[in-house]
Amino acid sequence: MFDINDLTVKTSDKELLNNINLKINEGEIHVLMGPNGAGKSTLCKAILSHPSLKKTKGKIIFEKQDITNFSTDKIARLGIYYIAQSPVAIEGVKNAELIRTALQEVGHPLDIFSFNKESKKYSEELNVDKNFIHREVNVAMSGGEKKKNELLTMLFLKPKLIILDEIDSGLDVDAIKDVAKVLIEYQKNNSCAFLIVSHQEMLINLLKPTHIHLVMDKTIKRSGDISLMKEILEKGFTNF
Amino acid sequence: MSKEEKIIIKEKIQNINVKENLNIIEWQFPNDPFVCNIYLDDNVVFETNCLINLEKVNGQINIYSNNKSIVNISLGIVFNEENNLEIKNSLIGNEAYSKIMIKAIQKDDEKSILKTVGIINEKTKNNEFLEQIKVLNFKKQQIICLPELLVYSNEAVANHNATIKNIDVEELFYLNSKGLSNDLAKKIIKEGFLNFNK
Repeated sequence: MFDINDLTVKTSDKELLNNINLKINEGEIHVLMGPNGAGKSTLCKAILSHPSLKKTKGKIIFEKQDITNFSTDKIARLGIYYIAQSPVAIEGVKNAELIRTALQEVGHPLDIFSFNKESKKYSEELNVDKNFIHREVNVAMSGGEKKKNELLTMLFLKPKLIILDEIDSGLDVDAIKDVAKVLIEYQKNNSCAFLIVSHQEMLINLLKPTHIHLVMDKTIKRSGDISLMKEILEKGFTNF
Repeated sequence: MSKEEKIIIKEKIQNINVKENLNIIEWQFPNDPFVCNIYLDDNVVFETNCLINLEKVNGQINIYSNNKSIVNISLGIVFNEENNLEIKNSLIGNEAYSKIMIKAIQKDDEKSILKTVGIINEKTKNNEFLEQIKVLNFKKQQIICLPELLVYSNEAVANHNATIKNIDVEELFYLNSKGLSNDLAKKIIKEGFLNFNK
């Protein structure tokens, strides 16, 4: 489904990632762990062709298409969804307006009745007020609300590969359970895969990832199953 | 309740006397240079909360506030091509209150000038003036914002601020990552910025 081969990423003057290889199949949950500044968020953004990053080597393949040099919007329309560590706020734009526009762009427009019906259903799943959809995009929202807001959009867009950069930051214990429940339910009902940046043991245990990757020194240094997370948490990053 | 009206400026110099509460729901400007003088009687409320589209406009709107009059302006301005607009509010009486809030964007790769002037006249008392200008610029689409506050009285409260914001890369990336093209993302950001009905 998704393949990264020998990817090297730079900004204008600095190499941030070197020789990244990662293969994700449908149904899998991959977790990226690593010290601060190791390149986890950079990798997420590079997949989405963030304008500040330059891919100087390697390829990214998604569903047999080479998306290495695709624009961000084109990548998103193919079904890759990204939730940033700190989602930006868009002043004056309502969630409903953005989601309906995005649905139109990805080719799945919804009539107003279906939209309202789905909105009610997803709001209940996420344990947020039904009027959440009528708030401005991430404006005056707490960290946890922003993450739930991004998940609300995800539920509408039904992406195939979901990239979550520290979805747990800003979430309290109950909210982590809500988020994990929504993600597990989503995976059950959709053909999809997850790439998650997290250090949150509780969330990782709830999601039961199939793969753990240790990102260090600009590359994926080690990959393994859930036992790698336990090893990392016991030893700390410096001992790898 | 205020009477709702349109202002259609046709003359080179147009004078409007406001004798009762008035809410302007639409403005129409000529392409030739103009000066529009609006004189408010005592105790009158003058308000306008709307979106205006300007194209090659070159003019001046002067509002003269008398005793206990209230000015409440919330304008979203879309500049198309080159424009030069000045909005001047002179508080010539006492105990008048003025609030001017303007949000402006330039639609195409041109430059427009938006000048706002607040004047509190000498020997007036207990006037209050608040002005807030927000401008959203993007690359070659620019608005030159010239806010000015002239306070000649010692017994007044006056406050003004101007913010110039650029559409930033992270906002565009965010909307792109939802599947929106660059053009659509910019349109949404601009429309959101101009939205007063929050």
